[in-house]
Formats: sequence, structure tokens, C-alpha cells
Amino acid sequence: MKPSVRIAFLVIIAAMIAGLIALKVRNSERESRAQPTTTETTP
Amino acid sequence: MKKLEQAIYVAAMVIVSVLLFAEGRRSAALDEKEAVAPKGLYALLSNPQVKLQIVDLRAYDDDGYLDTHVPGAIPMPECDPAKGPAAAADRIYPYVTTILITQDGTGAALEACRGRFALARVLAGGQDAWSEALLPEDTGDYAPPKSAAGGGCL
Repeated sequence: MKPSVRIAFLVIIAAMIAGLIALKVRNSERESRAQPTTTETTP
Repeated sequence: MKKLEQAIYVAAMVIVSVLLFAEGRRSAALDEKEAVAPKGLYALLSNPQVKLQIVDLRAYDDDGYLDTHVPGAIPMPECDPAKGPAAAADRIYPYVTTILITQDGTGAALEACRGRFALARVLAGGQDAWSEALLPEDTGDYAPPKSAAGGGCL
């Protein structure tokens, strides 16, 4: 495999992983915002 | 060896693509849960790249839609196209991102109507919040957009 092709593959995969992480973080933040905070009650 | 390396790269891309797709679906589900604020809707309407339809579920009378409505909103009282003007029923598409409007952002019609659209969000606070935010409003009968119009709701 040519080095340029290998680099292209690696760059694409890295970009996809970065996008996935960004989307996961954003979704997690939105989910935590959407869920109402629960307060513990003492018996 | 070369082929094995290539196969590993392709497999990695496929796996990440599947994960991205799953995360995209989760994002769409969150979109549906979250209500859109009036200013957020105004920003969406101002963006010609965003395609959405606004469906007004309030009564089509002098106390509801005819009194005031979001510009470009399509009347569909109580989620029943038969209760609105005939011209409006033809303009409602199930596969377009939809913003549902009630008087105060709550109501049984919202839940009944969500299932009609592929992606439906609710205007937080409804028409009341839109009016309180002093955003542009229209009054009177529903007028379908003319084909010669340049597009855009506002």
C-alpha cells in the first residue's frame, strides 16, 4: 500500500472518530440537561 | 499483507460509520424530545438552508389562528386536517421536520400529533411565548405560499 493511501485512510478514520466523540459528548450533555435533577430525601 | 492492512482500514471505517449512524439516531431522538424556544425557531426560520414546516394546532377561529400566528404556520386544529382550511391540508407533509404550536406549549393534541410526523418538535411556551418574545406575527386567514415567491417564511 502506498504511504499516501495509508495516510489518507488514517486521516479519514481519525476524522470519523473525532466526529463520533464530539457527537457522543454533545448527546450526553443534552441528555443530562434533559433529565430533571433528582434530590435525595432523608427518611 | 497489503490486502490485510487495507481490509483492517475498511473494517475500521465501517465500524465507526455504524457508531456514527447510531449516535445520529440518538441525536434525532433528543431533537424530538427537546422543545424549541421561540428565538431558536426564529433563528431556524431565518436560515434558508433549514427546511421545516410549522403546524399550528390551535383552533382556526378569531381566538386562535386568525387572531395571531407564527408567519408561515399551517393551521391544523387539534391535529385534524379536516378542521382547518382545505388549502392548508394539502401543505402538510409527514416527512418534513415539523414544529408544533399550541397556545401554551402543552396539550393533548401535541402527543396525538407527534406520531404523524417523522420528526416533530414543540415550540416551548407555544404561541404565548412567541408573542411575549415580540417576534413577527401574522393575522388572518391561512394563505398558501405562491409558487412565484422567493421562499422563506419571514
